[in-house]
Amino acid sequence: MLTTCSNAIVLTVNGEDHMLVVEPNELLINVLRNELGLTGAKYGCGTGQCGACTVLVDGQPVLSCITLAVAVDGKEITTIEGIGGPNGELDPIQEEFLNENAVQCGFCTPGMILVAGDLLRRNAHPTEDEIRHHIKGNICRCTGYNGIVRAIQKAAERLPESEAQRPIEQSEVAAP
Amino acid sequence: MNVTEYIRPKSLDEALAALDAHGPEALLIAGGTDLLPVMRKTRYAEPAGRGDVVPAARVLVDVGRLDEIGGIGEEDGFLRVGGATSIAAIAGSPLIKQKAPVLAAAALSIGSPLVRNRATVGGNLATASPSADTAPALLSLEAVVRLTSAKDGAREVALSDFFVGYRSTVLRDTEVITDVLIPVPSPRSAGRFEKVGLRTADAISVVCVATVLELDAGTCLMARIALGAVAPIPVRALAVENALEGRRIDADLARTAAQLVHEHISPIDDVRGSGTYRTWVAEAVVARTIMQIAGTEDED
Repeated sequence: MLTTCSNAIVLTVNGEDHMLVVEPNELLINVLRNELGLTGAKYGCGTGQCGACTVLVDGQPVLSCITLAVAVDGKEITTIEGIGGPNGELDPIQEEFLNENAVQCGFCTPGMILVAGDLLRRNAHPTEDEIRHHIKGNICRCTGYNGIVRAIQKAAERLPESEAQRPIEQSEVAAP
Repeated sequence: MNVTEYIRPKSLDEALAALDAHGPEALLIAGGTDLLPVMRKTRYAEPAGRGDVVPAARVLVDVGRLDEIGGIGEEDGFLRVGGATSIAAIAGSPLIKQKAPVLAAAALSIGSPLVRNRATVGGNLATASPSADTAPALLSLEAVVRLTSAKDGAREVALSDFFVGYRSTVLRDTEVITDVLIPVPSPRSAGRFEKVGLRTADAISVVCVATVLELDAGTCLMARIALGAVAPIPVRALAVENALEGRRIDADLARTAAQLVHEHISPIDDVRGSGTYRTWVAEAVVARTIMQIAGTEDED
């Protein structure tokens, strides 16, 4: 007979600690959506190819549909619900997605916005090529991407001066 | 998924002990980007199609957070990349970009930024996919992998001896790929990695080519050329290398030498391309990478 060893884990999700008991094969996306009610991350392809399930783990965008919940025990998770202000204010990237009509059905939008934020934190003045490179893992079937690229460009223009002047970190987007 | 137990060891020794204790029931996981989709498709014990059989493992041993087998450095004439180093870290590493750009380019071609944040070089080699993109780059750099187990300690295996057949390697189920060691390439050498896929992200290679040449005033002193997705395992194109070494590289030599790639490849027909197409593409891309490094114009 097979016995399952459940695991007690702690996830800090959008700044709040959650103690959870999960099965060893539980996926991060299911814990976020079903246990914590955070339905912003979407279950798309289930194989890590569409990016709809994107969340940040310790600030890095990852695919929550192919990440085990136990594997991110003790980590800080940020979902789309966690990036605005405390009273529901939108993040500048979210505002620009609305302004530029970068949203149609909205299924890819949480992932797109989290990935865009990751790019702008590392590269405050991305070129159009660098933007398109960085969103390659996030598929949109409605907008044709132009609105999304414009929204990220507009959000970059709004970055505070101090942040915009920060030297660009070495990252894979800067590789030749 | 038949997984009923998850272990995250705090040290390499603990990881090796866990592998030893659980034998074939245990399976290593790091980023899980290759393993999770297969595990979910197959409920972990059934064939995933075309021979992608995953062992009926019950216990996952997660080595993804072990600092001991992560990181990138240079020591004693070798670049050392820990087995659990993420593909994103390799693609973004100033040291790798400077000294082994062919590996940085191969890493950057893998998956998407999201996949690269979790995927590891050890995983890319251990799954032994014929189309694993770091493999040809590491073959062209003559890399060695260090494999460690609780009972037998560490052993070093040339990557050219690591792959033994389709999805099959010399890695034992008690062993961990702790390090990938790359002899520091000569400052006079230059490398190119080219991947042909059906799109520019999340693409599985139809053909990928890694070429490293050392040139002295147009004469080829050393050539290392490896290909992925054109044989059951990633292969070195020794005949092409031999045809280049000691000779002055021009477009004609690049093209005639590249034709010898046939001796080393046996591409299959699949959804991404026919064997015939892969053969043509392999030859063309090998020639192109040689000409790009040599700075020789293709007159066509």
